[in-house]
Amino acid sequence: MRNTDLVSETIRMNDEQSDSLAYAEVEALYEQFFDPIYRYCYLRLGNATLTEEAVSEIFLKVVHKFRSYRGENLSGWLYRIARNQIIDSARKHQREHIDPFADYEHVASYHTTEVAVLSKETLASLRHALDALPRKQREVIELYMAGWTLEQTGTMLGKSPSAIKMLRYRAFTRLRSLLSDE
Amino acid sequence: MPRHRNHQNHSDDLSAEAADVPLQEDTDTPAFIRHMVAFRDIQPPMDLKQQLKEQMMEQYVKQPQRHSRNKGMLSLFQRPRAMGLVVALAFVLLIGASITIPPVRASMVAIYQYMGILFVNTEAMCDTNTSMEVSTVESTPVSLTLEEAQEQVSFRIGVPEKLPDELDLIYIEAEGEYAYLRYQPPFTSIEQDTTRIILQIFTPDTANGAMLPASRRENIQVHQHAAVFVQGNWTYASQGGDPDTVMGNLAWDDEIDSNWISWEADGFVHQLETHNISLSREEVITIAESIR
Repeated sequence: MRNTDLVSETIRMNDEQSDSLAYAEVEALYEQFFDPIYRYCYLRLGNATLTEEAVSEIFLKVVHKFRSYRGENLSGWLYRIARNQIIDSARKHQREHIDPFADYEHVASYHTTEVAVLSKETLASLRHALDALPRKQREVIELYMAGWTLEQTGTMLGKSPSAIKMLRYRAFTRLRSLLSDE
Repeated sequence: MPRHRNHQNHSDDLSAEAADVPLQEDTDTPAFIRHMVAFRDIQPPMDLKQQLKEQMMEQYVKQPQRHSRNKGMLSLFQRPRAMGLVVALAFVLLIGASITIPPVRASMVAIYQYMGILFVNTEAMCDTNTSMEVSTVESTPVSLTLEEAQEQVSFRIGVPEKLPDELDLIYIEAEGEYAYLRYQPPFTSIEQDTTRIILQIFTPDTANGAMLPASRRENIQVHQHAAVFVQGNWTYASQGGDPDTVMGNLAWDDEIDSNWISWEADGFVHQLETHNISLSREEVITIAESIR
């Protein structure tokens, strides 16, 4: 084997090796974030069909863009894709009358007994209160409800855990006041 | 897969993470927190999860492989930024060598002369030249103190008395009938996502105000003066925003954490902007009304 062939072969093997690592990385990203992304979309869109569409779009975009992604903050990147997709979905369906969380019972049928505390009305009222929060406060609460931890939320939004804690504190205070007025 | 955790644990996590108050004051966890916690238990349909995963991984395999990052000089030529850096570095080294190493300097001069460039020894000219007076132009300092700024303008500069604790008055510009005050956390540079509040005061006939879309303007009152409140900011249309509210290549994005209040008083327009500070409409109005 000539030297140049040897170099090409080594490069090809390196490519294959790095690609199989990337494949595992995509798979792990999916396993780790599918559930929170689903909940985040459902919380924002209030409809299971739109949520399923949006979640599919989000992860297919992840696949298409993953190889060219060069950053370090994968969860922040995923969050931005999800947020943009939700905005697109909401725009696309803005003329349709969608009764928020009307299908909650159907969604809850997959779940544990804990979710029985919730109803269409409680969710709609919570959503309404969340919409009255300033954007960053709303974001941290939505991410909490989707299932992300304090540290993960900090990483995603590029803030320290203490900053997230402060935003949550402000949000809870305001939510308490908003929801007690109802 | 998220693990199912019991309700009490969730509430504890939440109150602990949420800081010291306000949840611990209550004997019972507020209903909305129980609802939030319950929401975290929602699990997506398994069939969707499985189907999407298969579809996704199939798509991934179909794509062309990632190019190796280790292809020596060839990969360098495929990356213009890296190539630019290498050229810049080589240029700096060449200049450095031509200044510090006499043989290199001599060679460079020979090359320049060959190219028709003649170097003149300016040191020798110093003795024969008379000194030349350069007129100086008085300019406004980069940043003033509030007192200095007040002396530069024909009107009284009012400043907000109620502001978020983390902000300090960092930068002031003032001249004639214009003042600009910027509040931001100390020791931060000014970036797009810097937390900041800006107050500008100017006459209505100047074009200092921000271009705010008519469709987002909400009429409010500040100090009993008619005022306009707007939430959001312009972004590049390619990155999102409302396609129906555009200005050149910009589109208005209601999601951006910026607020604007503009009102006219005593012949001057006051424009207050808040950026990246998560303030509600009422809090922004409170800041505007605290200007004294």
